[in-house]
Amino acid sequence: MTSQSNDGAPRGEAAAVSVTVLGALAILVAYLAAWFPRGAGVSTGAMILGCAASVAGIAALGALRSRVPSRLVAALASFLFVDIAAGFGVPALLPPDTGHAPLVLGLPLRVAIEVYGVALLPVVILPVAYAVTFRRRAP
Amino acid sequence: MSAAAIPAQRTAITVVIGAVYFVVCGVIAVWATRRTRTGDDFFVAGSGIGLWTMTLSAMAASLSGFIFIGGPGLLYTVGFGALFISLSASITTPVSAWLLAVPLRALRDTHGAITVPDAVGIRYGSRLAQGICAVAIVVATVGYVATNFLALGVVVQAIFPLSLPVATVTGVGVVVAYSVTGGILAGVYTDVFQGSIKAVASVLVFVAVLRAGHGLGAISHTLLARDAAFIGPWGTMTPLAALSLFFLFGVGTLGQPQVISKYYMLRDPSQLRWYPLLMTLILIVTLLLFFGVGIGVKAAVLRGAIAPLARADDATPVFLMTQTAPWLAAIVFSGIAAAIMGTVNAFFNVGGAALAHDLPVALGCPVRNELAVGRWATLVIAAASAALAMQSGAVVALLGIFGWGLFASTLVPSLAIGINWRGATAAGAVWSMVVGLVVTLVAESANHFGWYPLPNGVNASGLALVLAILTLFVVSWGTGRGRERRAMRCTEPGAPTRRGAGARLLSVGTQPITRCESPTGPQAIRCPARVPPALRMIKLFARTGPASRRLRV
Repeated sequence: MTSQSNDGAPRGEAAAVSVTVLGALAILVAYLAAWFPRGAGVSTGAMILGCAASVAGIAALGALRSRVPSRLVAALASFLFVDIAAGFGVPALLPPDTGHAPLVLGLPLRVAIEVYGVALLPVVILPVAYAVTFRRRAP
Repeated sequence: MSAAAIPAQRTAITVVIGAVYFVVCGVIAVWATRRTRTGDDFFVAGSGIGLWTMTLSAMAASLSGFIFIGGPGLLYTVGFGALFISLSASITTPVSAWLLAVPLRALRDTHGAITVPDAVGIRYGSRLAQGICAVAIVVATVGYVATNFLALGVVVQAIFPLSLPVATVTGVGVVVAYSVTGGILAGVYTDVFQGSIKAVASVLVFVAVLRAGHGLGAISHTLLARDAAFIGPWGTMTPLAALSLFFLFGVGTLGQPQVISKYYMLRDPSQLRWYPLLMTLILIVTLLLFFGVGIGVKAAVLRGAIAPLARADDATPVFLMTQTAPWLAAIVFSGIAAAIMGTVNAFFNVGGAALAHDLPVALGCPVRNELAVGRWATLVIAAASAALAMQSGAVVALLGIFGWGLFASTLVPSLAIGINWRGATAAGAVWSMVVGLVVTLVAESANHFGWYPLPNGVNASGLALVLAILTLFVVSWGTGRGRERRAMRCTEPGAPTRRGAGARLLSVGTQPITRCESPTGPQAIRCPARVPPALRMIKLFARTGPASRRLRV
């Protein structure tokens, strides 16, 4: 996903498929790790990365087929991956909130990262990107 | 939504507003029936609805009564982990639009597709794939509708002074009547009515939650001080369980036929440009009730303002009865009944289409009068669902649980991914659907009945979905055209060698080939790609990877 025009679409498609497959494999690893007593940490990490990769990969696949420029697809997929991975990964790493912890827009920090980061931040990016790059005809 | 879980709401205003709802639905049904003249009208509203209508209808099909009753109850029980069901709402609509909106609409315009299995059949040129897809939809639809029938009876009984059997028959009778006569046209316009009220009521209830709890900050402080785990990043669930919900509902939404079939119905496809923005905003607004009531009631119970709930599903009714004006409670309760009816109508549509259109096409004997057959098929789905609803509660609950997962594991790989990935093959699609069907049924049954409980956090439907996705890729790579070309062009002496997919596959995918025979003599194949072998394999199995393009023959 490096070229600017649609000439990069086949390469981008392969990259999107690769990311989707790696994400699915990570989710499978997360589920399999749950069968082992000490697999909780692996399970959580693999699931976070798997969710981020599979969503980003599938989104990129669709955007490329909708003739969104490859560079923009790469940027959107990267945003999705980082947003989901950080949105769930950072709260998992932060210490628990206490009763007197400062709130962020009315919510404890860890929950605020999830709600405002994963649930609301994409609203101002993805639908707008879709509208800007919309093409009526399917490739 | 569990049966017999809703306290009665039979005030005069509730009965009046509930009656108005049913009358409006009846009027819309009569109007829609007069406009329904063909199978196209019945199944895809004649591709004649506008953007707002489509958006509100898609929202109504996405958010059933669960968002009003079961969702807040789940949030009250397990804390913020329940919110993972809806955290992906702002991501899935644009992604769904990229993956499916324009492609499905193009299939409608170029091939006359009117159902989701139609798209699968056309994409792969496979009636088998279309047939399996239709079977999965029928199975999931019957289970889903059966659970909604039971829930509808409970809600109608809470509004009107009726016994449960009479309430169930009344609610089911109304929705079956307008679905059979008016088809999806009646459905989408009742959805507009009830969806609008649902969105407005959701905002009003959220404001009432904030007022009762003295603001979101005060609610959070109460929860942090008295039950910090509730307001932790996963609630009281394990991280894996919460993330499984995100995966299942985030990716699984891409395969819900009652939602994606709406893409066929839009009058002007250029309006799709604004659909993701509109739909995302409406979804978020409507989800405010789910979020607000769940945390608001929990905080009120911890403060002692509300007595602890006997059942989690009482969260919304108790809040409405104790903290809001009677008219708002009446609107919300009528909205719940209408939401269930809207969802049932949408499932009648996709299930009826699978029976009346897709299965006959898959069997090679398409029907001529799809309108009449579609109406009978809707009745068959309704009768099968009613018969199922009278079975044991455990069976009905199981079928309701796996409905979403079954749609996800059968349609996400074969349709959402397959329609966009040129490497997908018919065999890959068929096997992914078979794996999705079997794993969902077996794993959900084993888990539900306790034959083999899955480890904590492992979601049976999520497991089925990921296995189905991987099956699509693995089988497609194994059965793709590149494999055949490879054997033909590079392993037989004298076979032509050029920069074809086969040569690329063999030279980098397995081992470097230095020479191949061709009509013009021996030629060297080099692989200059500086990519790790594992990643190179994946890229090249996808047949169009960058490493393969750099090969020189």
